[in-house]
Amino acid sequence: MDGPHRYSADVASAVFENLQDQHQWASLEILSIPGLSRPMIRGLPPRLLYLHPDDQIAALAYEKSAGTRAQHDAEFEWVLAVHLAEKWTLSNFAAVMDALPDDRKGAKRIVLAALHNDSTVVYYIVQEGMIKPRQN
Amino acid sequence: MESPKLIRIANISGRYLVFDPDAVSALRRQANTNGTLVGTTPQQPTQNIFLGLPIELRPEEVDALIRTNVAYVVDDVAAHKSALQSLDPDSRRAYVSSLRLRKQTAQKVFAEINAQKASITASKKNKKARDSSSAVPSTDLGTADSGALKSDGNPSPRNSQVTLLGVTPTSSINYVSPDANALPEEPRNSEKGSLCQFMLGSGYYMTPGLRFGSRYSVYPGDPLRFHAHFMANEYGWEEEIPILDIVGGGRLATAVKKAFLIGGRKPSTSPDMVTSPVRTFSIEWAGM
Repeated sequence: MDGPHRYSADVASAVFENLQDQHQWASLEILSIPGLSRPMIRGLPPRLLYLHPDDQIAALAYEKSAGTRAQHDAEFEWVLAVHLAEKWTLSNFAAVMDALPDDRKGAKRIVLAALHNDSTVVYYIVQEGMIKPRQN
Repeated sequence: MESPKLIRIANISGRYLVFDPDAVSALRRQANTNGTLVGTTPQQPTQNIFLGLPIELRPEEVDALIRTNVAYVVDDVAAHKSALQSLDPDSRRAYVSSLRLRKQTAQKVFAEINAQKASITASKKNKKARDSSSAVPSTDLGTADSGALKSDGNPSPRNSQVTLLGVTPTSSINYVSPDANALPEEPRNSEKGSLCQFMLGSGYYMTPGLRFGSRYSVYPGDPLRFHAHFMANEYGWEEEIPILDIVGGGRLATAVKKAFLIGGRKPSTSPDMVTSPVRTFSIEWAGM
């Protein structure tokens, strides 16, 4: 009956624990979002997870002129937990993006967590629109 | 025709080709479409670099160019056939004389190059002769002999080659009416190609993306000036994308300082031709 729901809840809780224990995220919670069939994880990474390349350049310029590093506070992230064997569609991703609150400047982003059977979790940043890559 | 000249795209056995150098540069400058050079000579074909005109365009690029009223497509085989059959004596004579003129020009250039070469070798030989005149004279005689033989033997086959030299025009735009056999504009109504159309419309350039395992490499400007920002794949709105493909694409793209881009358009549900916007998602490894 609630097989699919159990499944996505299990995937979410595995990723939840990985974030908590391996990556030291704080304030983690699993939330159900209206309009989404899957639970979403929200949490605070130990340091800022993503900085737009233009802000990276600005931070470097600041560091050069001020002599101290630009301070960037960590931001709360939305995490979508999926299993590696799943198949997603553009419409699925668009539905997730649309369901999330627009509470940040810049493009909407989620962290896509792909879980494998050996409990490996890999994390990808998915942003809405054509966002140029970071210079790392 | 409109004030900016429409670009003529030749459809030959299902491929879209542009032969005219001016059209190619206009496409690159004004429509951020660079295409792929595919032209080679029938003899001594180069492998896969150093190719020349024509350029080949992707079907979805052609579709986008037709939609934005930049280009039109011509059935080039039919156009050539009808042009050849309907050639009146006057234009035929003009064509032959233009070929002859080109041939003469080529001949002249060839002769000049030959003369230059001959004078260079002659001056070298003179120098050599002067340098070695104090040394053993017999060897000097030998080299002079073989040199004379060469300079005797060389020009005559060269000259015969020049007279045989044919001129193959790179473009037949002057002889085939540009509008002949234009194919009816058929902007496809499917969503396929919408990502390409969107990216061209946003000023991005695209090259084949195979070397990064995707459909397009996407550049923020001319590929000769910029590195690619994205490796992009188009998907249907409800087409299934394996998560493993996202992981693989995202990981590879990040490793080469790019973002993996997926995108497509939702099919419009209403028949009033209002198309929904193209949705794109940029994917990068999170670094954790």
